[in-house]
Amino acid sequence: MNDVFKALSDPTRREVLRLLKSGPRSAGDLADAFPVSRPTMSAHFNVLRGAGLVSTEKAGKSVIYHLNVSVLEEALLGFAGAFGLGTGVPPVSPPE
Amino acid sequence: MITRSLKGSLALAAILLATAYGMSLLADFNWVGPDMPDRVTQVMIGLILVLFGNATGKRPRNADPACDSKPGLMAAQRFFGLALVIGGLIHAGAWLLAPLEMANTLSMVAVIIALIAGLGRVAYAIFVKRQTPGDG
Repeated sequence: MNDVFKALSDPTRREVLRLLKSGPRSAGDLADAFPVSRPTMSAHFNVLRGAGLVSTEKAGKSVIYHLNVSVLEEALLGFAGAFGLGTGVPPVSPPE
Repeated sequence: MITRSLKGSLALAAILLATAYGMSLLADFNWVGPDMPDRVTQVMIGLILVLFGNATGKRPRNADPACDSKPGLMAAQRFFGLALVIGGLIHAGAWLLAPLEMANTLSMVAVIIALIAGLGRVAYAIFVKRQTPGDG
């Protein structure tokens, strides 16, 4: 559960989950929707995957992300967004 | 996964039966009020409904996401889970707080409305999916 709270504490990751509500998207599509570098987005995806909030599927060269949340996790996502949780935290550093 | 969830379900059923029997015994000895066995059992049923509803939209970690790459159906499944959670919470809350004669009706109505709403949403998603077979 700690991983879930960590994942939901970042506004970019919350926005990724919101985008995935409308359907599965490729990593490239998701990365294009944010003004951050690919390595930073990749780190965000890893956190979301580690928390089990998204699942991935390989489609040729691209990776497709699917939303995978329970009702409680979706409610937490809504609460975190409503209260603007983590809007002041620095972005995730890219992987080494 | 099926084996694990079956074991979990059997364990829950065993806990539910043991609690109901235990509460009946306590009521027979006048250690708890006469309505307590019903209340405790029904609150547990409501919470079990919440537990199952919560997990409805979530796939196991090792499941292949390609098998459910239909966003409409997944959204409907999440809505069904939410409806079950709300229905279960109302069911548990009614048996916890409402007078006995009202709790029975209120809890049944809540769960039936949740089931109708959830199944209706899933049926609508399937209908839309059949209307647009080429989509997602």
